[in-house]
Amino acid sequence: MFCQLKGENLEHDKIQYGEVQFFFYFANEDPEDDRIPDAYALVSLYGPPDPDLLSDSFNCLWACTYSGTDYLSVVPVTSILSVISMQPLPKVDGDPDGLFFVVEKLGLDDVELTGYTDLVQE
Amino acid sequence: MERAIGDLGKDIRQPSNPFANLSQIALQRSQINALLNTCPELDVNAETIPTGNNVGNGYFLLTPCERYASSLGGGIRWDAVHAQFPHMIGVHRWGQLNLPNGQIARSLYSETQREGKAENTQITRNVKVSCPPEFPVTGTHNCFAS
Repeated sequence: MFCQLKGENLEHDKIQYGEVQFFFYFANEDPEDDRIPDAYALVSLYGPPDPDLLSDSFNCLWACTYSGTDYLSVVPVTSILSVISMQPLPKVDGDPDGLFFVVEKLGLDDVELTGYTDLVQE
Repeated sequence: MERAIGDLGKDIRQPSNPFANLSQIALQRSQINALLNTCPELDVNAETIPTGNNVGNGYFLLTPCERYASSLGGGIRWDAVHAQFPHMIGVHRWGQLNLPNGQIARSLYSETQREGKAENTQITRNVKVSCPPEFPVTGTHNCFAS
Protein backbone atom coordinates (compact mmCIF):
# COMPACT_ATOMS: atom_id res chain seq x y z
CA MET A 1 0.00 0.00 0.00
CA PHE A 2 2.48 2.61 1.15
CA CYS A 3 5.17 0.74 -0.68
CA GLN A 4 3.56 1.63 -3.95
CA LEU A 5 3.70 5.29 -3.05
CA LYS A 6 7.17 5.48 -1.67
CA GLY A 7 9.16 3.29 -4.06
CA GLU A 8 12.82 2.65 -3.32
CA ASN A 9 13.67 -0.76 -1.82
CA LEU A 10 10.59 -0.83 0.35
CA GLU A 11 9.46 -4.19 -0.99
CA HIS A 12 11.10 -6.00 1.90
CA ASP A 13 11.20 -3.12 4.39
CA LYS A 14 8.05 -2.64 6.37
CA ILE A 15 6.48 0.75 6.90
CA GLN A 16 5.75 1.28 10.56
CA TYR A 17 4.92 4.18 12.79
CA GLY A 18 6.62 4.84 16.07
CA GLU A 19 7.44 7.27 18.84
CA VAL A 20 11.11 8.19 19.09
CA GLN A 21 12.53 7.68 22.58
CA PHE A 22 15.96 9.13 21.81
CA PHE A 23 18.72 9.17 19.23
CA PHE A 24 22.25 7.91 19.76
CA TYR A 25 25.51 7.24 18.02
CA PHE A 26 27.04 3.82 17.91
CA ALA A 27 30.71 4.66 18.22
CA ASN A 28 33.04 2.34 16.43
CA GLU A 29 35.75 0.86 18.66
CA ASP A 30 38.27 0.64 15.83
CA PRO A 31 40.51 3.76 15.98
CA GLU A 32 41.58 3.26 12.34
CA ASP A 33 38.03 3.65 11.22
CA ASP A 34 37.24 7.36 10.91
CA ARG A 35 33.94 7.02 9.13
CA ILE A 36 31.02 9.03 10.39
CA PRO A 37 29.67 7.05 13.35
CA ASP A 38 26.32 5.46 12.65
CA ALA A 39 23.36 7.07 14.34
CA TYR A 40 20.39 5.12 15.55
CA ALA A 41 17.06 5.86 17.12
CA LEU A 42 15.26 3.90 19.79
CA VAL A 43 11.67 3.82 18.64
CA SER A 44 8.52 2.61 20.37
CA LEU A 45 6.48 1.16 17.53
CA TYR A 46 2.73 1.55 17.43
CA GLY A 47 0.65 -1.61 17.29
CA PRO A 48 -0.66 -3.18 14.09
CA PRO A 49 -3.42 -1.23 12.32
CA ASP A 50 -7.00 -2.19 13.05
CA PRO A 51 -7.80 -4.47 10.09
CA ASP A 52 -11.52 -3.62 9.90
CA LEU A 53 -11.03 0.13 9.92
CA LEU A 54 -8.19 -0.22 7.43
CA SER A 55 -10.17 -2.25 4.93
CA ASP A 56 -13.39 -0.26 5.40
CA SER A 57 -11.51 2.93 4.63
CA PHE A 58 -9.74 1.46 1.58
CA ASN A 59 -6.37 1.48 3.38
CA CYS A 60 -6.64 5.12 4.45
CA LEU A 61 -7.34 4.95 8.16
CA TRP A 62 -4.30 3.46 9.90
CA ALA A 63 -5.66 3.19 13.45
CA CYS A 64 -3.41 1.58 16.02
CA THR A 65 -2.68 1.50 19.72
CA TYR A 66 0.13 3.20 21.58
CA SER A 67 2.41 0.54 22.95
CA GLY A 68 4.61 2.46 25.39
CA THR A 69 7.68 0.35 26.04
CA ASP A 70 6.18 -2.92 24.78
CA TYR A 71 7.57 -2.81 21.25
CA LEU A 72 10.93 -1.10 21.33
CA SER A 73 13.14 -1.25 18.30
CA VAL A 74 16.50 0.21 17.36
CA VAL A 75 16.49 1.59 13.80
CA PRO A 76 19.12 3.51 11.82
CA VAL A 77 18.13 7.17 11.60
CA THR A 78 18.27 6.95 7.83
CA SER A 79 15.24 4.69 7.88
CA ILE A 80 13.15 7.49 9.38
CA LEU A 81 11.14 8.85 6.48
CA SER A 82 9.06 11.65 7.91
CA VAL A 83 7.46 13.16 10.98
CA ILE A 84 3.81 12.25 11.38
CA SER A 85 1.08 13.09 13.81
CA MET A 86 -0.79 10.52 15.88
CA GLN A 87 -4.26 11.75 16.76
CA PRO A 88 -6.73 10.11 19.13
CA LEU A 89 -9.46 8.42 17.10
CA PRO A 90 -12.95 9.55 18.15
CA LYS A 91 -14.56 6.51 19.71
CA VAL A 92 -17.43 4.84 17.88
CA ASP A 93 -19.43 1.96 19.39
CA GLY A 94 -17.77 -1.32 18.57
CA ASP A 95 -14.27 0.06 18.08
CA PRO A 96 -11.48 -0.94 20.45
CA ASP A 97 -10.36 1.58 23.06
CA GLY A 98 -7.37 3.86 22.89
CA LEU A 99 -6.84 3.98 19.14
CA PHE A 100 -4.70 6.60 17.47
CA PHE A 101 -4.67 7.29 13.77
CA VAL A 102 -1.87 8.45 11.52
CA VAL A 103 -1.93 11.87 9.90
CA GLU A 104 0.80 12.51 7.38
CA LYS A 105 1.67 15.76 5.76
CA LEU A 106 0.41 15.75 2.20
CA GLY A 107 2.90 15.95 -0.61
CA LEU A 108 5.97 15.18 1.48
CA ASP A 109 6.74 12.16 -0.66
CA ASP A 110 7.47 14.40 -3.61
CA VAL A 111 9.59 16.93 -1.79
CA GLU A 112 13.18 16.93 -0.76
CA LEU A 113 14.49 20.25 0.47
CA THR A 114 18.07 20.85 -0.47
CA GLY A 115 20.44 23.75 -0.45
CA TYR A 116 19.36 25.56 2.65
CA THR A 117 20.85 23.16 5.17
CA ASP A 118 24.27 23.45 3.67
CA LEU A 119 27.16 22.38 5.83
CA VAL A 120 29.57 24.68 7.57
CA GLN A 121 32.84 24.23 5.76
CA GLU A 122 35.67 23.43 8.14
CA MET B 1 -0.05 34.27 -4.13
CA GLU B 2 -1.69 37.48 -2.89
CA ARG B 3 1.31 38.01 -0.68
CA ALA B 4 3.62 37.70 -3.68
CA ILE B 5 1.55 40.20 -5.66
CA GLY B 6 1.67 42.61 -2.75
CA ASP B 7 5.43 42.21 -2.38
CA LEU B 8 6.02 42.80 -6.06
CA GLY B 9 3.64 45.78 -6.12
CA LYS B 10 5.49 47.40 -3.25
CA ASP B 11 8.74 47.33 -5.18
CA ILE B 12 7.47 49.36 -8.15
CA ARG B 13 9.64 52.44 -8.51
CA GLN B 14 8.64 53.80 -11.90
CA PRO B 15 5.23 55.50 -11.85
CA SER B 16 5.45 56.40 -15.53
CA ASN B 17 5.63 52.79 -16.66
CA PRO B 18 4.58 50.60 -13.73
CA PHE B 19 3.78 47.36 -15.57
CA ALA B 20 7.09 47.09 -17.36
CA ASN B 21 8.76 47.84 -14.04
CA LEU B 22 6.66 45.16 -12.34
CA SER B 23 7.58 42.50 -14.86
CA GLN B 24 11.27 43.38 -14.57
CA ILE B 25 11.08 43.08 -10.77
CA ALA B 26 9.40 39.69 -11.07
CA LEU B 27 12.01 38.58 -13.59
CA GLN B 28 14.89 39.60 -11.33
CA ARG B 29 13.34 37.82 -8.42
CA SER B 30 12.93 34.57 -10.29
CA GLN B 31 16.49 34.83 -11.55
CA ILE B 32 17.76 35.24 -8.00
CA ASN B 33 15.65 32.31 -6.79
CA ALA B 34 16.91 30.11 -9.59
CA LEU B 35 20.50 31.13 -8.86
CA LEU B 36 20.17 30.40 -5.14
CA ASN B 37 18.64 27.03 -5.90
CA THR B 38 21.45 25.96 -8.18
CA CYS B 39 24.27 27.52 -6.13
CA PRO B 40 23.13 27.50 -2.51
CA GLU B 41 26.59 28.58 -1.34
CA LEU B 42 25.79 32.09 -2.62
CA ASP B 43 23.08 32.54 -0.02
CA VAL B 44 24.68 34.54 2.78
CA ASN B 45 21.68 34.13 5.05
CA ALA B 46 21.53 30.37 4.77
CA GLU B 47 21.08 28.38 7.93
CA THR B 48 24.08 26.27 8.78
CA ILE B 49 24.48 23.20 10.91
CA PRO B 50 27.80 22.22 12.48
CA THR B 51 29.41 19.35 10.58
CA GLY B 52 30.01 17.33 13.72
CA ASN B 53 26.38 16.39 13.86
CA ASN B 54 26.12 15.23 10.27
CA VAL B 55 25.17 11.57 10.13
CA GLY B 56 25.05 11.36 6.36
CA ASN B 57 22.33 11.23 3.71
CA GLY B 58 21.00 14.63 4.73
CA TYR B 59 20.31 13.69 8.35
CA PHE B 60 21.63 15.77 11.26
CA LEU B 61 21.39 15.17 14.97
CA LEU B 62 20.44 18.23 16.98
CA THR B 63 20.69 19.07 20.65
CA PRO B 64 19.82 18.53 23.48
CA CYS B 65 22.39 15.85 24.01
CA GLU B 66 23.90 14.29 27.07
CA ARG B 67 27.45 15.09 28.04
CA TYR B 68 28.19 11.67 29.45
CA ALA B 69 27.26 8.23 28.22
CA SER B 70 25.16 6.23 30.60
CA SER B 71 23.29 2.98 30.69
CA LEU B 72 20.11 4.92 31.52
CA GLY B 73 20.01 3.25 34.91
CA GLY B 74 19.17 -0.08 33.31
CA GLY B 75 15.52 -0.36 32.39
CA ILE B 76 13.65 -1.61 29.39
CA ARG B 77 14.98 1.01 26.97
CA TRP B 78 18.57 0.15 27.77
CA ASP B 79 17.74 -3.55 27.35
CA ALA B 80 16.45 -2.83 23.87
CA VAL B 81 19.62 -0.93 22.90
CA HIS B 82 21.83 -3.53 24.51
CA ALA B 83 20.09 -6.35 22.68
CA GLN B 84 21.03 -4.69 19.39
CA PHE B 85 24.58 -3.67 20.38
CA PRO B 86 25.88 -6.10 23.00
CA HIS B 87 29.32 -4.42 23.16
CA MET B 88 27.94 -1.05 24.02
CA ILE B 89 28.52 0.12 27.58
CA GLY B 90 26.56 3.36 27.51
CA VAL B 91 24.64 5.74 25.28
CA HIS B 92 24.83 9.48 24.76
CA ARG B 93 21.24 10.39 24.18
CA TRP B 94 20.49 12.99 21.50
CA GLY B 95 17.22 14.84 21.37
CA GLN B 96 16.37 15.80 17.80
CA LEU B 97 16.96 14.80 14.22
CA ASN B 98 16.80 16.97 11.14
CA LEU B 99 15.39 14.95 8.24
CA PRO B 100 16.29 15.47 4.56
CA ASN B 101 12.76 16.73 3.89
CA GLY B 102 13.32 19.64 6.30
CA GLN B 103 11.26 18.26 9.14
CA ILE B 104 12.69 17.93 12.63
CA ALA B 105 11.84 14.79 14.55
CA ARG B 106 11.99 15.27 18.31
CA SER B 107 12.06 12.49 20.84
CA LEU B 108 10.58 11.49 24.16
CA TYR B 109 13.91 12.45 25.71
CA SER B 110 13.84 16.03 24.40
CA GLU B 111 10.13 16.61 24.75
CA THR B 112 9.86 15.48 28.36
CA GLN B 113 12.60 17.91 29.35
CA ARG B 114 10.18 20.79 29.17
CA GLU B 115 7.88 19.49 31.87
CA GLY B 116 6.29 22.26 33.84
CA LYS B 117 6.54 24.71 30.97
CA ALA B 118 3.66 24.47 28.53
CA GLU B 119 1.21 21.65 28.86
CA ASN B 120 -0.27 21.39 25.39
CA THR B 121 2.86 21.63 23.33
CA GLN B 122 2.99 20.17 19.91
CA ILE B 123 4.20 16.58 19.80
CA THR B 124 6.60 15.92 16.95
CA ARG B 125 8.22 12.72 18.07
CA ASN B 126 6.03 10.35 16.05
CA VAL B 127 7.74 9.18 12.91
CA LYS B 128 7.20 6.99 9.91
CA VAL B 129 9.89 4.34 9.71
CA SER B 130 10.70 1.83 7.04
CA CYS B 131 11.90 -0.92 9.34
CA PRO B 132 14.85 -2.84 7.95
CA PRO B 133 14.46 -6.56 8.60
CA GLU B 134 17.81 -6.81 10.40
CA PHE B 135 16.58 -4.62 13.27
CA PRO B 136 14.16 -6.74 15.26
CA VAL B 137 11.69 -5.55 17.83
CA THR B 138 12.40 -6.27 21.45
CA GLY B 139 9.22 -6.64 23.37
CA THR B 140 6.66 -8.88 24.87
CA HIS B 141 5.16 -9.94 21.54
CA ASN B 142 6.61 -9.94 18.09
CA CYS B 143 3.38 -10.81 16.39
CA PHE B 144 3.29 -7.90 13.95
CA ALA B 145 6.92 -7.06 13.48
CA SER B 146 8.24 -10.37 12.28
